[in-house]
Amino acid sequence: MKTAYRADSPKAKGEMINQLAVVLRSAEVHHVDNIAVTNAISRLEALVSEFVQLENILILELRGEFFFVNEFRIRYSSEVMINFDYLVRLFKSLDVGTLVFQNDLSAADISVLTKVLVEASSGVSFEVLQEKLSHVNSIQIEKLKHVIEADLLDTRKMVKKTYFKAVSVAKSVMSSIRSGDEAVDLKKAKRMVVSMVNHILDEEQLLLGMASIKDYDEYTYHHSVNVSIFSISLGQRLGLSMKQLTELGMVALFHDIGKMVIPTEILNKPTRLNDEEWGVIKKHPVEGVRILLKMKRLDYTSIRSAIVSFEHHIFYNNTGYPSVKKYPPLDLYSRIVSLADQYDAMTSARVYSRTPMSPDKALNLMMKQAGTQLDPLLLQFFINMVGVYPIGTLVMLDSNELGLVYEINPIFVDRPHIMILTDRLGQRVTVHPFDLSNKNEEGAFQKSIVKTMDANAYKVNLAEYLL
Amino acid sequence: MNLFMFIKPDRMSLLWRENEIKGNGMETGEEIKAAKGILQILLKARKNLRLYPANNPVYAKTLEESFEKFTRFFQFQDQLIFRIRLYDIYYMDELVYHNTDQKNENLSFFLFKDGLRELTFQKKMPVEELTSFIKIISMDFEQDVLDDDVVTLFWEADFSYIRYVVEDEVLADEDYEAQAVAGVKARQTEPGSFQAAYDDATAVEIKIQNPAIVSLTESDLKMLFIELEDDAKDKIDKFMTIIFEIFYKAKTAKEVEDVVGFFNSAIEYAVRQGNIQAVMNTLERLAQIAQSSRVNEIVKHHIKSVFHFTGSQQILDLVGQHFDSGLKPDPKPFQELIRFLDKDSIPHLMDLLGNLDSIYARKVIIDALVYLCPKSLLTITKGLSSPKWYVVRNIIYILRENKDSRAVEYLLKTVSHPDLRVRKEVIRALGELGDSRVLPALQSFLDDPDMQTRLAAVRALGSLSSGQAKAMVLVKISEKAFNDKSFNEKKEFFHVLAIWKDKEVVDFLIKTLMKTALFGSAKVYESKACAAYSLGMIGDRSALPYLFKCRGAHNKLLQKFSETAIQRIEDENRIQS
Repeated sequence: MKTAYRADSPKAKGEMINQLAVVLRSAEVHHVDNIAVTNAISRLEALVSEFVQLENILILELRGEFFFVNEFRIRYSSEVMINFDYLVRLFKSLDVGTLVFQNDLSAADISVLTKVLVEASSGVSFEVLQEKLSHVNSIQIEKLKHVIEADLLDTRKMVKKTYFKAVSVAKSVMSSIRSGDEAVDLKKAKRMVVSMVNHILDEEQLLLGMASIKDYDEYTYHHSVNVSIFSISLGQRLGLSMKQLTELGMVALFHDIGKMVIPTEILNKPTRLNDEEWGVIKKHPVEGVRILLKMKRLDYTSIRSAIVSFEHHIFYNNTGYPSVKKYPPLDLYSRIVSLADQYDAMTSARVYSRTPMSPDKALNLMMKQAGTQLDPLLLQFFINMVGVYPIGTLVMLDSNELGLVYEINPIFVDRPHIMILTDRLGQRVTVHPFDLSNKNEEGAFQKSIVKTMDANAYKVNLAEYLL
Repeated sequence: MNLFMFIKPDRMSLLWRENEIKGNGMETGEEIKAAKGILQILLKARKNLRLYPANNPVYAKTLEESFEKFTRFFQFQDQLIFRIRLYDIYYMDELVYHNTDQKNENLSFFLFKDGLRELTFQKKMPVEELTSFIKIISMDFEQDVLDDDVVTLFWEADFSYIRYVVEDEVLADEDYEAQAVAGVKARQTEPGSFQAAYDDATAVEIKIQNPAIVSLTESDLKMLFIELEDDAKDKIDKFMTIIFEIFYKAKTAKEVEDVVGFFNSAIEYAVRQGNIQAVMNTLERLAQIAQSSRVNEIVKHHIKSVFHFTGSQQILDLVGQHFDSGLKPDPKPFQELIRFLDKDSIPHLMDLLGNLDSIYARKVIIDALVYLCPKSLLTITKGLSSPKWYVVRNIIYILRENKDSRAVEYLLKTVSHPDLRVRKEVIRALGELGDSRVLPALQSFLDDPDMQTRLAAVRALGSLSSGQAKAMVLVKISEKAFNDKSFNEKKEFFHVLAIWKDKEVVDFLIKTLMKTALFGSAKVYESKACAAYSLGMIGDRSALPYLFKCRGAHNKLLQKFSETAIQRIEDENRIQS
């Protein structure tokens, strides 16, 4: 069956990966000779052969959490998310990093591959798999490559730079607005958002890590960038296109722009706000719309920005502020930004509350608000994104060691990557990373989280470890 | 320097490099020449895409030529890499472009200033990707592109075969990072923090928590899919709802004034998007607010200004483009919207009549003017002096449709318009709207050298249906020269005469019918046949004996027309009885 688009188009590449998952998943249920499996194999064989005819070779590689086809990162839609996640899990559990398909591929070859992959238990060594496939000339498998530390360091530096540049650009734009400048240059802001989207597509965890450090002096600007990062990241999981992600990032970056006209003495008041002051604060969504609409000629992005500025404090059940009557359902972007905004605000130190909430406590509270204040479906995606133990969570392990979560494991959301901070007796040790999905020889997890604690309550400076 | 490569070098490029080593059949000199050629065609494409609209053949041809150049290059090479400097572009370390102008017209300056340092085109680049690339570099970044630079647009285009290296050092304050990091790191973890955490954690019995792992189901994904589909819909209605919310919350005159500006911007945006329905809904809602007794005069004045803006030239030009797009959009929302416009919009709509290309769009505007005409007949009549004949004709049509006899004095000034098509339209209008004032003009047209004009004039006289008009037709038919007219013209005159179903006409027709044809003149028989035809139309039974007589005449035409007339009179009488 011919597809309606070129065999080497991004869509076709995504479809090949999806079809591979379909083959393997059906083979988990049926025998490899069952018609359901053979039909799926025929379809895959047709797709791959057509591709190989054009490109000579098909290299399907898992890097981090993403698949690449002939070096092109494959972005997938929400419809195929489950299949992609399944493949990531399978590749990782078998230590398989790359599948190479070449000319003369036949359905029989794919059938052998299917059998080998499906029948392999997770403990089997990669070399065994390779041996079993050695007689199939048209398919080779390669071992999963782990990111080299030096490369990771470079990437980390780059992500860090991008984060601070974004904050700096946000500060410059917002300062211009506060000082009443007529001409605000949004090109730089968009450029930074593009850069953030790019990093989130490739190195999501690093940028999420940057957004987890909440002790900066200039809360407003960091908060704006953090909300933008969380929103883009969530948008990516929802299957938004690159253009939509950029749009969402811009919209999120300026969600609180209305605060620029709120007197700083109210905005930064260290004590409880009185009713009148609270009334002024509540005006910021409408003020945001005014600013955004005066900033430039109306276009699609400014319309969406205005909508989000207006709606980001209106709850899922239409309560909140500004008060509205007979109001249509909240915009998708507003619901995304609202989640990101609440999470970042709750987990940040602010002038009136120096001790922020711990990430896991914030998530628990947000879960209680699902269906009333927050969109329950998007919250599910959000929790999967930040993990059950979000970056910055202080954890106690069953080994009695203390650790700090620095990276989420998207496949095992309850088994993040941590940095070990103390030994079994609570003594500080040289910090070293540990992957909680690591298993021992018996196949049991080596270490598990037994308790979470509030790093802020113990005055642990996350920046020391995450920056 | 922070160089950011959007796509990294990879195993595939190594494969391509292998091919290069194997030999590509192109000498270096030729290669450089070909690269230069590609740059030249890109420059030409930039120029042409700015000059010509997308439907112009030059536009399409330019894109085609550009793709051909690349295709030829890729017959010998697998990729084409340009290195970009402020005033120069290099290919294989050879200068292939040099320009020192600090303007966007200068390709190297244009790319360099946004941070682009290297551009790579790869073999198998599809024509759509190259087209998208050329369209981006041809945009007017000073006028049309507000939030984007060339890098963000390239990125959004999500190229698969065009790669680029970007430097983004210029974007932000470098010191900011150092300051922020120093600030946040200064607050070091307090000594004993971990011990305290450890002590607290181990003081109580450790219970393994049940983390809330949320697994997504197929139905969650379906719901998400619906959400995403829904999100793709137009946002203008929601946006208008928000502006109304802000409008209700506005307390000061300045705030109301601001909101009016927002309404205006939103209306312009909606029309640009072709969403006239959203504009119509907004105006309707504003009109309802304006009718409320609780709304003060200042607010009403501001609301009126929104209606006024909707009828401005700026908006109506966009409306014109919308209907002139060739897609024939539904005119109903615009027809409903017209009722909110005032007479000031009439001149803009009349200007549009002169500028629109499609008949469809002009028809929509004409209908709008027909609706607005009663608001100012005088303004509409000004269109009669348009230098464009078709505008004058459209205005005459509008006046005619409006059925206001005050238009006659203006129409009479147009009767001598040099264009025949206009004269015919005005004659018709005078017939439908006129009175005795128009008779001299119509009478003069009965002798016009152009038959169509003469016919229009006699029909107009018929429309007037006055005694004076009848007399003019009778006189004209009685003239000797009338016999010499063509059969069709004669028939039309007699057809008009049948409008007056009185004795004078019947007698005149019988007299004509029974006229002796000297020397059996065929022209006379034609007139007699037309008289029979006219009698048949009148349906007067007193004519039957004469018609029976003529049915037996030798002349076939007279026989036939008499027979038809008899049939008609008898049929009519049968129906009546």
